[in-house]
Amino acid sequence: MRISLNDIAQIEAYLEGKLTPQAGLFFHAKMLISPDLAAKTRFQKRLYDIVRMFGRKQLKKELEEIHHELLNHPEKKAFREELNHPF
Amino acid sequence: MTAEIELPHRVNNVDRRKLLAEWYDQSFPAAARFVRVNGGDMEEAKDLFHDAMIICYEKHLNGRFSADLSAKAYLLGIVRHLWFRRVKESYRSSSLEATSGDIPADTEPKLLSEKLLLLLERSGIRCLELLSAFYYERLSMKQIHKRFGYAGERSATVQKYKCIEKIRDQVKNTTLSYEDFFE
Repeated sequence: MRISLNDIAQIEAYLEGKLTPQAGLFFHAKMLISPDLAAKTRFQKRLYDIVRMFGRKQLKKELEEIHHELLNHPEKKAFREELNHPF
Repeated sequence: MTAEIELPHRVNNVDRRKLLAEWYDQSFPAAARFVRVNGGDMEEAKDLFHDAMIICYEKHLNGRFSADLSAKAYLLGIVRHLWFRRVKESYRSSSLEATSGDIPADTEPKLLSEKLLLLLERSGIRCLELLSAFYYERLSMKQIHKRFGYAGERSATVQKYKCIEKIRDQVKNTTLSYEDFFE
């Protein structure tokens, strides 16, 4: 694996808490002396957040589709009736 | 009889869809009833229920539900909580509106994240999907293989890292500065 990918792998291990305490300290020290590594780490952390946003967005889309289908599919009459049941 | 409380990881999108639809079928009518009894409409019921489904799904991804609670009870509990929180917030914001027209501070960063997400969706959706499978859905290697077709764990992992690298380079080359990404 290329060196640049090794960086990414190690940053991931660090962000996911998978480094040993000693390796974690060492990584932390590396970040202090390398602004580039620190920037890459901040980037990756941020990227994971955006990926989660994307995942959530896809899930929301799926829920909309399910909702639409339940309210419109002829087979789902029972569901609609339950929904409109007077309380 | 308690409903199935665990959302097992499935191999492909069709099965996740089927399971979500089951939960929807079981729990949405009661959630809609609750919201309507409390003066809300169908649109609000749908919004809150979707938020509750997302919370449940993500909670499942981090571990199981408590064995004592069915998915339906859990979902309804969340809907109730979200409803009351929404009501409280609407009281608060209507009094704030009278005193200040300032946009709350936290909308700015959110807009930037969304801008970035749109950028990445346009230019690298395949990478986003792979990363989402790893980091959001937390699919197993076997499931990743089935969905994306990588020969093995190593090649899927390498591809994951290549995606991160690709996106990193993409962001560097856009009009957004690299630092903007960090806010």
